[in-house]
Amino acid sequence: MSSPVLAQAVKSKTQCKPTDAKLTYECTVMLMLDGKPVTGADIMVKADMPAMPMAHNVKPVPAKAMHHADGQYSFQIELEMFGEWKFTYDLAKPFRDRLGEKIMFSSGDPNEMKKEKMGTHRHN
Amino acid sequence: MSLYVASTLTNVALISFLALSAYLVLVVGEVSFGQQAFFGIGAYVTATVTAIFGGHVVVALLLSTIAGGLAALLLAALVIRLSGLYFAIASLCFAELLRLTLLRIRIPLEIDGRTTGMDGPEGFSNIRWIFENNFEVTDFLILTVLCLAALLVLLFFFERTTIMLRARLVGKDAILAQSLGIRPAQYRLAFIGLSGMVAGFGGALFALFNTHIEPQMFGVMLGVHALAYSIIGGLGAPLGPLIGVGIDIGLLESIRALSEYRMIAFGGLVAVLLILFPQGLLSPRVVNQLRARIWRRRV
Repeated sequence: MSSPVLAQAVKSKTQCKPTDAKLTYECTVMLMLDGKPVTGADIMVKADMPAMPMAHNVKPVPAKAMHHADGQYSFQIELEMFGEWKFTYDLAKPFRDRLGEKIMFSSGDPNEMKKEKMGTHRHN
Repeated sequence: MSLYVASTLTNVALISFLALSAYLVLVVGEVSFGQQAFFGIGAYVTATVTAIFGGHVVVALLLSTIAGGLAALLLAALVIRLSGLYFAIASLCFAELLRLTLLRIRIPLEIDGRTTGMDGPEGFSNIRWIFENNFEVTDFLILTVLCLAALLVLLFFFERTTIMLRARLVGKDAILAQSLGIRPAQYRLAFIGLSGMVAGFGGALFALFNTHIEPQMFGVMLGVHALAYSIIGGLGAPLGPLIGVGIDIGLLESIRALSEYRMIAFGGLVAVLLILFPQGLLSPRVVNQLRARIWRRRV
């Protein structure tokens, strides 16, 4: 049985940090609904490049709820290349929804990646 | 079926519509780098009809198909005197003009507390038809595959008509076709219009599946890929472009080790295949040979 569809919009805010593995990032996403954190969510994260839709299919990964941080979920994702990626969050629980953010991943020294390079743009 | 497999297969089916639209233009001897424009028009029309006006999905699909076809006809009519390289450049310009125009249009709307509508580079969000109608990814995959199969069956029968034979002659030798009383311009117009309809329909499904579209998605890379799929697969039959899609997304996608080098591998593969099979894998010659074999067996 599928979950109900939410009438109001859920907001997301993503932050990513590079790991030691090439093109692999440790990310956290904060989900908010009416200013309150969304808890107990079942999330699958997909990533694709807006400049090349349908061609890049990074394997979706589940996002796990973080302890002591309501509404925050973490996941590790391996991308195919640097550039602008769109993360899509498919929510199955507590309601069915989809939201996304565009994030720019640039090359260079990962430890010196500036926040503006990782700036997010919410589209849902 | 996992989300990953279902999404990848849906993407294969969706991009097949674009590859088939490029195929229809190639049949009449033209090369289009602008099929992504009609795909984008279809996507935006369906997004507008379903997300803003709350229209029925069948109406949205129908309007997207018509809009894609009309836009393609407009392009064909404007550049009817151009062919070859000039047509290719004109089609690319048309697609880029549309993409840049979409980047400028900002009419965001608030519907049920959600921002939707055309919002320039931010795109068109909250196309929620699949959620409102409780469509799972696998359900959408089935819908897309059924639509693609229906299109392939239509094209299969269309291949056997004199219209297609004449169109292929126009594509091969327009002067010879003209000397036989065929009007190449009419065939070009009709096939480019038809290609726009196919791309528009595919774009409509893409918008419904993706739930968010933006001008950047309909850039030149998408058009180049669609063209490459048809050229790799061959112009002998509608199955050709699908073979091209299968090689890129199906084969290369499965070789995860290639990952960041995939585009280089794809470019290299296109070059090698075109050297070995200049007419594509399923060239008209190969198709004729296969048909002759099947015919002999039946007899």
